Amino acid sequence: MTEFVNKKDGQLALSHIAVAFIALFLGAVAGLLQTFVRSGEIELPAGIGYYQLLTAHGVLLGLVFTTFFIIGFLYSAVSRTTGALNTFSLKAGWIGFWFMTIGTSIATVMILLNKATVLYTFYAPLQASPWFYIGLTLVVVGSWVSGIGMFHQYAAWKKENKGKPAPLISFMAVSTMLLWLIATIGVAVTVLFQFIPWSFGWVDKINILLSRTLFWYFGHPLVYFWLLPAYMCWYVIIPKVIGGKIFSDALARLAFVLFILFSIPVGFHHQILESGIDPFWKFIQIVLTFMVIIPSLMTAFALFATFELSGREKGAKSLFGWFKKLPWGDVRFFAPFMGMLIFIPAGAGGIVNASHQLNQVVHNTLFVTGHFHLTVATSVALTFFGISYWLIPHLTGRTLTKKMNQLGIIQTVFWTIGMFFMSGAMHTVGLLGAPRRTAFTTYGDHPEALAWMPYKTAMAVGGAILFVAILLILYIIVYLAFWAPKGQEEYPIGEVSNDAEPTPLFFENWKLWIGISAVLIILAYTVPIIDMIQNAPPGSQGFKLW
Amino acid sequence: MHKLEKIWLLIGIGTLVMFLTIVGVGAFAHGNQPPSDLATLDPQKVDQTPPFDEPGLKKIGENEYELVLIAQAFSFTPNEIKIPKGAKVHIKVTSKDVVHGLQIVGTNVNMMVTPGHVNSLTYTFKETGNYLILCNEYCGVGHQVMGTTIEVIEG
Amino acid sequence: MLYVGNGLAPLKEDHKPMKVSQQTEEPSLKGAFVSVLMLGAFIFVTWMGVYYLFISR
Repeated sequence: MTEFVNKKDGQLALSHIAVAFIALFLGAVAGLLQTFVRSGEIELPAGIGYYQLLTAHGVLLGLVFTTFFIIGFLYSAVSRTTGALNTFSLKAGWIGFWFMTIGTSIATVMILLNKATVLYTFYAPLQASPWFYIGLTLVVVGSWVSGIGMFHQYAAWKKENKGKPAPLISFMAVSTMLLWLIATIGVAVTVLFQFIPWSFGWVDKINILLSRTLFWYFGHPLVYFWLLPAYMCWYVIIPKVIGGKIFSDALARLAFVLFILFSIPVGFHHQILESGIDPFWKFIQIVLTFMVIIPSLMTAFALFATFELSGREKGAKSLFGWFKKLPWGDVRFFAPFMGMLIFIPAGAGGIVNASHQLNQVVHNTLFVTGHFHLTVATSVALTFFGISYWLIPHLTGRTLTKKMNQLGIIQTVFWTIGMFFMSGAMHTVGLLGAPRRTAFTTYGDHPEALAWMPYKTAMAVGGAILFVAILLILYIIVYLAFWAPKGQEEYPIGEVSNDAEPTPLFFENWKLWIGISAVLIILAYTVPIIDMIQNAPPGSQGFKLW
Repeated sequence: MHKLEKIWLLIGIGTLVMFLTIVGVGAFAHGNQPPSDLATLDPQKVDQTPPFDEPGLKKIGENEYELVLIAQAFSFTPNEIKIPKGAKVHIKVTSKDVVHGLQIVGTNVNMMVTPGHVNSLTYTFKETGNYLILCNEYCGVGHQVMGTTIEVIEG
Repeated sequence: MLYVGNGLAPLKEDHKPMKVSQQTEEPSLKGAFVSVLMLGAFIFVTWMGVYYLFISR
């Protein structure tokens, strides 16, 4: 372990973080405009389309901001805990970074040129320019190269430290990238073998159901790719920030292994209301989905336990006295904590979404949009902001000043309030039937649709508050990167509690986890996929309906 | 594992099992499966393929109807539907172009409409009124106007 | 921190002589326990709410 991330490694991480925050800004501008369009306040200028903006919003925030921040953070964590990255690992990181950045640029240009107004899920038979799909391919391939770079660093550490479990946060980084590699196989197959040939015109028709199924095979573990880095912060960084200890190293590793196993064979819960998939297989994947809730239940207990134990160490006596002992004034704790708190309604909504026929109440309504604005746009985003407050100055040789800390607390409060209004309204109006992904309309002044308008206004109010919070975070991170006073900012890494179970090496039995994961995927998907190939209707030509 | 964590996980997993049992029984025993029609057709021959060659409402029993709908960018056919309250309606739908969604606001009727596939759901309207049918899956620049209404009248 | 070199998860019995404190004095986690129960209640109420909506529609 090194106390400070090596400067060269730091540059790699910072480059990723920079792209992430640029994407955040652009995606947020799109989002702000969207809420004002939907509430009927504005009409978009200069021939910008609502759905074009929505595509940009989804791609920039859900794919670019997330992936870049995650890989940057993970590389920093691996360097911090296993030592300076070796030549291969560092080179791989840069190759990955450039592939991803070039791919992002190509895809973004296509979106801006209105050649890819297909939303970030790009469902067939809507057909974008092949360059859009190629751009996304480069992003994914780049992430693979970075993943391999991290695996290489990990393997080198294991060789130097035979018989020792890898540092917890590095174990988690490897788990996350392994999950990502297995997950992206689905989207890679559909993009390389279906979308690209079809959009170039080399192939006339596309099997829609197969393409959707391969996408969602990827699309569900994608959200765990977002979530697990936040869990890394909660499990490993936060205990150090609050002056406590990691509750259980072994159970944390177990949770991550469970995520590898159960976050992939579950894509059908995004396809519950689709034709062509036997409900038996849908239900099998629903059951598997419910299994992936378990490691989150474990995480909830572990985090509360960490807080309670550290509070009791500091003298707290009553049932909840430890709560007051938490460092509320430290944004490095407060921002991720709000992320944790919001994960409670976020997860509750997720369980509802996945509950088989209950999905009929919420599918494609704003309830779903409300849900993921809590999960990724609050729990994950606030945690990533919470990491940035110390990671950026750590990597730039500066310090998190008191003033920036205060501003960060305010940013977190604004974010939470804005999201309360926006996501709260989305959940409610979604239950009242308002659809997602829809530009301004009253469906001919239908009374049901008119009844949604006050909620759309609430969404716009929330969105405006969130945008102020976006400006705040951007100011803070630019300050921390370029202007904060020079110094040494800690990269907090927690130590394990003395009362914890010893950590078995068993968790690093990667072949076993890959094997079980493969078996589960094969069990969950083989029969329905063979069915959707053998019993496919004639495929569809491409449509450009925008 | 700490004793209280074990108890928590038991309670948590037990709750999840309860949820799965409730929806599982409702789906497999009481027929409340989510719409999962396995029928297919040629998406370019919708107008010639029964029952889509005659979209609309058809009475098929004492208090039972079949409602055959065609979704296309950006409308539903037919677009004037009157159904008596309390009647069982078998809704069947397909798409002539891209993926659409069929949702009847205020009801559980919510399903994906994939070209090349038929989807279906049976529903009984319990209240009279003017119900909004809308497309809830992005289908292009006119997605937000894609809707129609169903009038549910006294039986 | 204890590292086990043989790769197998240690059984509790194996550690009796080394970790007496763990056996006789589990830390009080009642606060954590009540907190997760509240979390569970939130999930339960939310789910039942939407289930009720489904049944009534």
